[in-house]
Amino acid sequence: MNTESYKLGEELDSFNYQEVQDGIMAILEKGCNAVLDMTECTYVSSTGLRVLLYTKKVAASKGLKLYLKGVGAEVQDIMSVTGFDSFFDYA
Amino acid sequence: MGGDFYDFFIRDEKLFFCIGDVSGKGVPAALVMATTLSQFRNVTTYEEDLEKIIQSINKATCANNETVIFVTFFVGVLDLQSGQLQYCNAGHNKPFFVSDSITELPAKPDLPLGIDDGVAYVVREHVVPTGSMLFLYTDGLTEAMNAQREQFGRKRLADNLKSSLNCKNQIDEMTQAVHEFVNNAPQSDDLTMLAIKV
Repeated sequence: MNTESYKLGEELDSFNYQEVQDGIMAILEKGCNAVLDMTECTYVSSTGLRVLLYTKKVAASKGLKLYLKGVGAEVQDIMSVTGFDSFFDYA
Repeated sequence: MGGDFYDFFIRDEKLFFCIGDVSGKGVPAALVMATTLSQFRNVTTYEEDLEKIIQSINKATCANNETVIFVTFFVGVLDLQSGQLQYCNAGHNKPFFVSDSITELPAKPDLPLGIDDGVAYVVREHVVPTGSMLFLYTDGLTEAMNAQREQFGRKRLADNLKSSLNCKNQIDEMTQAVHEFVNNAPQSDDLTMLAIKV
């Protein structure tokens, strides 16, 4: 199964969540697994976490996967604080 | 329309309390908040088993949640006679325990409410002696940003906690500290604090 990446900037929050969600959805709609490259990302808000949850759910409904890649210490801390640290799949 | 909420009441010499943050905004988030709060009130009128309380609230929050709105939620039952606290943490910021020292309550978070109705939430216990305080908050406090986009953070929060203060003064001082830190930068998120002194 093909895999495509979407590269995130420094933040995933209420300012860019729709653009990121649309980007991941476009990959899933092509029937590909999606890799969200978070190498440069240092902040994910609760709105951003909803994008990850929503696209993971859509991926699962299509028999696909959403993978997170390059998760740094700041984002890992946010994942830990919110109980999501073992919820997502990592590339 | 904000997403933060809290509630508390006393029954049979036990304090039931909760604080939470709904992940969305607008009417859908407000409906999820109403569901969560009403379920907290309903279940705690007859149930004292915290595991059953949070599982019931989570199931209600998960039902018909097509838009994946989730709720970070901290719920506790404090026995006012013994000072024994039982609590569960569904993805919420760890509260601070303020006594001779300032520490975060040991509370590795489980998943927030509204994601998976089968989550087995961990119930933890802590003794809250007379004179000590629990300080609960939402991420609008630690993530409050100044014009340089620095966050207020947990360290500044802890530095502004004082065991000598009563609840009102503690919240007033924290409010002042975060306002001074943020200065004139626009507020980006709701901010809620709840202090409980035994």
